Amino acid sequence: MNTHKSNKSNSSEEDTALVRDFQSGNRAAFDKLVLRHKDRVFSLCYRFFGDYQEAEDIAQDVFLKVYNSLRSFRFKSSFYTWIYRVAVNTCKNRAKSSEYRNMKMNVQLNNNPRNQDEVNQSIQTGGKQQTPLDDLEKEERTRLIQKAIDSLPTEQKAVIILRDIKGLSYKEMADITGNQLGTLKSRLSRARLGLKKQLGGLI
Amino acid sequence: MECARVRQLLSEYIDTALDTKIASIVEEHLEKCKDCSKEHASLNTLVNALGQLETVETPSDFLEKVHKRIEADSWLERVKHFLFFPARVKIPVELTALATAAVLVFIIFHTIQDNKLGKDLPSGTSETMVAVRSGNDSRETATNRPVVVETGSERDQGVIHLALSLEPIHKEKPLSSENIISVASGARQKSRETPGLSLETIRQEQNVSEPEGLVSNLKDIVSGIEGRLLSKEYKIGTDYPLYITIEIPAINYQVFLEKTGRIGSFQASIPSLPYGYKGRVRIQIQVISSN
Repeated sequence: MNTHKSNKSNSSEEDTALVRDFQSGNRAAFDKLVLRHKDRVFSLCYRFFGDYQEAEDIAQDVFLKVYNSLRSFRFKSSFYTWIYRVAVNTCKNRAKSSEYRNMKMNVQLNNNPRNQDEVNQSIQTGGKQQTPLDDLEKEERTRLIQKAIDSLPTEQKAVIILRDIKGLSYKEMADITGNQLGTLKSRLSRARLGLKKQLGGLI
Repeated sequence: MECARVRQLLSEYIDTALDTKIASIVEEHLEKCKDCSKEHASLNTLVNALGQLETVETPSDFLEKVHKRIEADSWLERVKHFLFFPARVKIPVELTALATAAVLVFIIFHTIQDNKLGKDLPSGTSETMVAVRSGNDSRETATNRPVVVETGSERDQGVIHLALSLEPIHKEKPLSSENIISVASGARQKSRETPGLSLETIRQEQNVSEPEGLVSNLKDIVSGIEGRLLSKEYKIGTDYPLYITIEIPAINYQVFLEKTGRIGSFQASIPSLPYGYKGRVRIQIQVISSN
């Protein structure tokens, strides 16, 4: 499970300092915030839509919103939680607008050469020795999992990504989504069962 | 606890989010129930697989692209802000625009109506100096005199043009010795030039040459009422004035009529001025010959 817990408190303090710096007029502080959080935001967007280009576009949207709202940020939550909130809401809104155009998004990893190359280059192998067959299996497995995620309703997709892919706690999820714990738990349970059904014998 | 209930709690159990007591009941069930245990293992594997999905790295030029988005957005926002003010500003602005448009429409409509009215009127002289029509204007005098309606372009100049016909009072000049001599010499000259022309005829012609001081009299009258003599047109080959044009203040129009009435009689109806008009009046006086 990917987690970001180790340096979270330090990160939070650094984020706060950068936000205050930006609010004082230092635009370079915003750039630092982008560099600190871009991977987090981008990967969330990618998992939401399974498309590299779409993820890039939405991630830019997220940071544009952050830039426009940062002056009025009141530190009621951590910057980390806030940016996730902006990212999730942006993804949900985008998903709703394209829902009728594309009910089942298929990850076109194989049909999009650029996408394939980009994803392959970005994949971390974890240092293990992989055979070409392993790579192929892994690629196919990833594709199928992503396809299953894409098939979930928007709200379930969000909790799966936040909890199981990004490793956030229930409390963090509640802060980000604004939902009650009970709602999140039942939603997550349904999402996992739905994925298990989709993936069948793969898992 | 029943299997259905246990399976409902498996998700929370994996996340260690269950109450301790309930968690232990679930654990106990899983140790005994193979199907539920299998279900638990399957769900656990899924969650682990999701957690091991590879991280997708952001494009290397991502920050640059964000900068471009910000720049493009700030321009758009400026335009939107300019066009779509907050409602508390937008509404008064819109109302002002609406009121301005209404005023403009009124002015344009009013101008068009004025122009149309001017075009419909019949022209007076060949120079279109005045258009006269009879009417039942309440501002007219009881004698139902025609009201002058000025043409559009002339009114724009702030001057009303009128036309009057005046038959000057003729006084036959007594023949003084000088006159006799001049008449006689003139007659002799003329008789040489025009055989058969009698002295009487010559005399009559000379009497007709200029009404007794008409031009000078008019000049005196006009200058006395802050007016001016503009032009004189003479019958070809004579000193007899055909048209005399003067300009006077409208407030002295009645005085002019009164004084001019003493040196001649007005022919046809005398035009009256629009009620309350305080500009200048240009009058072309047609001198009517009694011969």
